[in-house]
Amino acid sequence: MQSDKTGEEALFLRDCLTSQANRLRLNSKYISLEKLSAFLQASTDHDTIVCVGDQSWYTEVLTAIGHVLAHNNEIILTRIVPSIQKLPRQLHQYVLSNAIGKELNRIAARKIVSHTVFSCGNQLFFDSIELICKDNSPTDFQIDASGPTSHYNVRTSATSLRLQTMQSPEHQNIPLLQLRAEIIQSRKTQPMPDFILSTIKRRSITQDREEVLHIPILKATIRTHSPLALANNPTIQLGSHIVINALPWELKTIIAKSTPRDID
Amino acid sequence: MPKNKHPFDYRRTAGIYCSTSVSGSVDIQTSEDVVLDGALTGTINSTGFCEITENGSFKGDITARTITIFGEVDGDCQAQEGLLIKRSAKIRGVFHANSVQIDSGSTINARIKPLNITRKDPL
Repeated sequence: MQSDKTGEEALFLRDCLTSQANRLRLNSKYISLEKLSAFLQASTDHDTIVCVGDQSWYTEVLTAIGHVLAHNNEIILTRIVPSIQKLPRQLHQYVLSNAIGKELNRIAARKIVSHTVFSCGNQLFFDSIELICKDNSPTDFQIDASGPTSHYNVRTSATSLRLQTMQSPEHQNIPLLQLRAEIIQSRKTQPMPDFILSTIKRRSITQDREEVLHIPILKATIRTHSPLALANNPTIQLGSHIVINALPWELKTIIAKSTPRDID
Repeated sequence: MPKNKHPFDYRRTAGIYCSTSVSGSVDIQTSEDVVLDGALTGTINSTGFCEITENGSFKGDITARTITIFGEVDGDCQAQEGLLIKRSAKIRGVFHANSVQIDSGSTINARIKPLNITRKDPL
């Protein structure tokens, strides 16, 4: 469970997961991230790990246990993203409990798919990852990237870098990433005329994203003037020299619908 | 800011896009559309569409189904279907295409030749 979920919310989530798992006759156990790696190394069963948290938490868990998953490809890693809607307490609990029930039904149905795992500096990901510069200020990027039949050695100024898996009809069996660089500009918006008479002065800050570059890549080496951090969790620093590569092992995860990539 | 920021939707949907702030060298072989807005060198070989925008400049060889030039190009270019040289374009080198459209006002310091076509009937 995501480390920032504490107190009543964490207790409720744990109770909810346990009761819903019991209803589906799934044997469940709560393990903290610190103990997960040791638990998996000692375990002989074909476990399914359910991360409860957002995208950054999933990346954190995948990075923490990547070395175990590389050796044991029977372990399945899937996720539940709890609702963060601001609702009255009881309604929120009802919504959350319903959502967790649906998610556990999906997990019990076990539609397993395999994904190529990519490394981005010290982080692992399989669908997407976003890196940003400190304080959202643009920095110089030197990108040396290779695609299946292309090569790029370019320099640009950008604020954020997003890597996302993509499908190419030309190279169906090759795991490709779309590398997208953007400049993020914060813009203060003035209040609407109706609000001018209001005693509360409302001013919102919106972010404009201007695309700088997008290219399909297989691997890349990126050097930046100032260090980059994960967009979802800026406390995780990736440094100024980042290597992006596809790893030689695949991650098994559970999805809701059938796709052509089903293996089970 | 670029003079002609996203006038067409296909820039964003093109498989490869480099904006004005991008410089360096590329060696592209693709079936996707390519839109270059920056100053680049290298080679482009695409079975799709290739556009060098008003702010863009490219030094090197381009082969594509259709080539549209708004900016500067210096090199050997082959357009399988059509070559469009727009008003703001400045071109230099050798350009091969069977269908060429040149807008008045473009600066041309180049040789424009037809692509080799194998004729069935003797002349």
